[in-house]
Amino acid sequence: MRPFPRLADRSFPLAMGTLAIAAFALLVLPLATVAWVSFFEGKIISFPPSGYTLDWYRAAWEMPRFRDGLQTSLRVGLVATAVSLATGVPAALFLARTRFPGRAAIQSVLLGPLIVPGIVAGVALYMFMIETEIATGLQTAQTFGGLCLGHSLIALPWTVRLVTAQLVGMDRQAEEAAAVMGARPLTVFWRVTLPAIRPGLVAGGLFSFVISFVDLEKSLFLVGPGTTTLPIAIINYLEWSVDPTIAAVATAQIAVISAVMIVTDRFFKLTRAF
Amino acid sequence: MSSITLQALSKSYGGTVTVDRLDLDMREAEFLAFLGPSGCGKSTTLRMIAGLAMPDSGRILFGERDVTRLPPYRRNAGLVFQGYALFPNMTVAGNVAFGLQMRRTGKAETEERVRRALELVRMAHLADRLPRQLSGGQQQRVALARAIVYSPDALLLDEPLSALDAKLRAEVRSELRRLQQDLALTTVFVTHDQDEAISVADRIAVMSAGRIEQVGRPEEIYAAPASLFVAEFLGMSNFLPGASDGPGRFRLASGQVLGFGRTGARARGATLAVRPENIRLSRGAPAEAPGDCQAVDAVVEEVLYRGSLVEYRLDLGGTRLTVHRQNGDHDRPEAFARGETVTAAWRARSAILL
Repeated sequence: MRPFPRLADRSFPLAMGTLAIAAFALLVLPLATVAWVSFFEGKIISFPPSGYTLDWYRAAWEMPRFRDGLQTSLRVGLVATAVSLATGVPAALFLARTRFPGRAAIQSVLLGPLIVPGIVAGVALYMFMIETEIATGLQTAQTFGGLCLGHSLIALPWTVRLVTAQLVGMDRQAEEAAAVMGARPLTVFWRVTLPAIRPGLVAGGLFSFVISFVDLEKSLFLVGPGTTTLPIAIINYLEWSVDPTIAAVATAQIAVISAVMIVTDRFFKLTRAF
Repeated sequence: MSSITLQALSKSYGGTVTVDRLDLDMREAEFLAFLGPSGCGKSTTLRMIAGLAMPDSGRILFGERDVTRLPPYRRNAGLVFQGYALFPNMTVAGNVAFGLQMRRTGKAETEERVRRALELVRMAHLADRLPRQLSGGQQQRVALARAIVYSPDALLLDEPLSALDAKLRAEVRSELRRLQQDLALTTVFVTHDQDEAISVADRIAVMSAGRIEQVGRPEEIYAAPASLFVAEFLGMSNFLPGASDGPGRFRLASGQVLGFGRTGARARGATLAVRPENIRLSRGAPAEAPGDCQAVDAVVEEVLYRGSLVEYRLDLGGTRLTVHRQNGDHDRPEAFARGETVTAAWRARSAILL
């Protein structure tokens, strides 16, 4: 007989709950603060704010550097997503389904951008582009193409990873069943394989876009006149001035990413990819 | 529908021979079961018939048509897997329609044939469901409908019942048999379950180590196994060790000589096999002994009540002898107790030298 539950029985869920709330707060508070600051009235950021205004959003929108930056970032993000999917899916298929010498090595190289610090990869890529230019006369550094190339590289591992996970988990007998029912290899791919790996495809595309959209380190070396991305524009602005404009831009950036995630999740439950 | 012929079919994986010069003739509309333990090559054989594995040598014919080198999508076979392998993103009707779409069947005809196939497996009312909304038995019926809807030349079943629970298995099994007979489908059924093979197949091919040990009707194989392996795999048998002692004579280790009626086609001559249900027990010499009666004295070690029968486990000079006595209220046979010495008797013709 135990008339009362032991203290540990009650305190454990309590401790877990507290920890969870603390972790959540740690994640959300900085973002919330940025969003909050973006509505402050004063040019000098001070607490408590003297009043609230939407002016900083208008100011940010009216600055060409931010408007162009957003546009460049969106364009680069879309190109990087497309390239990452177009090359990552065949790569994942090949890696998941064939056995050949050097397979493990290729897998490591493909996942490399996840491990190598972005700044190091950025420098390496920049030097590679310059050397190529010296050798061939073909300019890639500081062009839109070069920027897209760099962003595709950091996006690719996500597609490969997420699509591979789906391929490993999928029922290959469904493909065999389709073949026996009369489907040619390409039809099997379109009608059976592709639908089965769709969670990985959607999540891979989403991550490719987001990773490209927020990338700073690699872009530092790759941007040139007219191809400045939004994070670079933010950094450049921060060098000379700190005012709520920057908070407004950051909030807009967070909003874009949230919108992409929410829209994707609406058509497709993202939790199914992990 | 067509007949299926396998000629000297061989397949190795990494130096291990999985299927070894296998020959088999199936007539049209026949239901044949490949029966064997895992790794005996039965699934590989099925995969070669389906076109999912290429034989190293040998030929596969559907009727007169040589399909040995054809890819799976040009063979016109139907295949049902143990794990159903339905397309999760398509409805039941979509799954069943797939094979017809691949054959470029018209829309109206496709609809009609899908409806008929689903009616055959009693799934028409669930045509719009997705596979994940169905139970295992329902999914397997959809898989079956999907495989027969385009009238395949061969219906191939790879352990289709193994994932189902016992009651459902019996139900789907009889449904499968009915369907196969109604549609006169030439069917190859792969299983490791002897009861399944015995209860559905016209003929059973017992496989071991890539070869067919014996092929024949279930009752033939049960009554006259060709080898020790077949007798061990199909049903239960007593195996008495000893040696052949002239024609029709077998000498036990104890020195007693017994008669037997049959010699297995692949007998090695060191074992005498007797089925438990063919042995009668008595105290002293059996009362009404037929002319070819063989009798041994043994000690009762265990008595197990098993519902419709009683199983006696006897010790015969170190060898276990199992005897089944049917329970029923028509006659009341004697009961025997542990430790008792009894006479176990059988007819020479039911003993087989293996």
